[in-house]
Amino acid sequence: MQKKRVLVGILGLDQHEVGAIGVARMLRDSGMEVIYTGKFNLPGTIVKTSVEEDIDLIGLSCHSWEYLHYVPELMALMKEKQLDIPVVVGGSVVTRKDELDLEKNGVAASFGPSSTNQEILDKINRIIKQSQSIRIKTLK
Amino acid sequence: MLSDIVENILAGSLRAAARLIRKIDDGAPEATECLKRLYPHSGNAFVIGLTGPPGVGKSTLTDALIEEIRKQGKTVGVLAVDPSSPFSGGAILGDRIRMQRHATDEGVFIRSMATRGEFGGITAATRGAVVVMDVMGKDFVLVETVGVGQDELDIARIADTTIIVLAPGLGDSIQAIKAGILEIGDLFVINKADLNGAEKTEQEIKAMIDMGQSTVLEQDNWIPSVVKTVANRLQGIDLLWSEIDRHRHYFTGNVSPQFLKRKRFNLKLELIEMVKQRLVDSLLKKMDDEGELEQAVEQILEKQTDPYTLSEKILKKLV
Repeated sequence: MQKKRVLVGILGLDQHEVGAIGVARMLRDSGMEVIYTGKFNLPGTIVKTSVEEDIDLIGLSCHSWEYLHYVPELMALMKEKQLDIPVVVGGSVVTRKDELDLEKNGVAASFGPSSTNQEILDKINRIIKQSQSIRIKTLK
Repeated sequence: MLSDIVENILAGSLRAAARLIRKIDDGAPEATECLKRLYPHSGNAFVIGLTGPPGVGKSTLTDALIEEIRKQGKTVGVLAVDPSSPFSGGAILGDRIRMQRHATDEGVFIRSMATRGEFGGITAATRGAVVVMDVMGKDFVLVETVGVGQDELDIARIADTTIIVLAPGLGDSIQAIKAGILEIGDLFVINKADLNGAEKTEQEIKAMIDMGQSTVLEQDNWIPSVVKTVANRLQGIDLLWSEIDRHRHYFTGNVSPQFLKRKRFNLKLELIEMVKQRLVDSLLKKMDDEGELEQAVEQILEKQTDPYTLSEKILKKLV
């Protein structure tokens, strides 16, 4: 049986860790293996860690604005490395415009502060399922 | 397809290696096929195991050893094992936080693994993962176990050098070096040696080693040394490394009968372990498919029978 593996980490100098830990716990309790990279990650770290850990999804926690700066850089680097793993962002106040920008960059979903555990879990499971079926198709 | 994976890994592909380790972890049948082909190429990496109670700084020490290995221009694979939740089966794997400064270094491959319900500080999949890192060309493989207590000694079976990491002020530290753990330790590290009580801990361990020497001597003539470190400040790491090196030369240079005895012993245990695992897996799967397992549990619950009788009955099915 394939067990789901996801990465949870925080980009840049953002110090707020409680949300990331909370989400990591929730994902663990749903039976996933969470590779927790903590604070102070740069796009390069996230990309190499994702390859090393062979994960199904990258979850970025953010509480400041920094993700707006780093996410495009991360998506570009992933494209360059041909790394096809869905990325979700959550925690910060994501405005409608920011959300659209993130989507344009290829981010699969963003979760605002009012998202419930169930919402996050359902969406993440759906995204992983989708990306895996795409991966299987391209392999064929 | 299979030969592609094997070839890519032998050529050093990180992605192929990471994928295969996942398949090994998931118990995929094709993983075993790959390992069969990779195994003949293994045996070039030097495997260092780090074990010890939780909170003594195993991850930080691993990070310091990565630094030391990279300074010498050698490459390194790291396997960091953390526990799975026995209830949800999930896990939070956070050992690599302490090593993230090496995350973008191409000469370093860090992989987190969950115990997935196994005991002993490492898992059956860890052995396979060591083989993968070995054949992809890593000079060293560091295996960091879960924070273990007294009888989780499996690491010594796969490591060439086993390091027991301790720290001062862990209460009665003698507890941590009871029988077994003393015998598997090739080196002892007292990390956080800047804290009060480091000398006392050092004396205690040295006394234990002296007392245990007669049994250790019978094994292979190696007397474990004790090294004090402050891993987060890289203090004592050069000394630790020279001790690892000394043991490495001893290990690779030693072909004494006692030494081969130890190797044979390890290989035998490994083989038994593998057979046991496969046997149990296939039997349980069969029972589970037929709903027998649940039935059996109900019968015990209703006191219609007992687990002793039932386990005998189940085993009879095999023979």
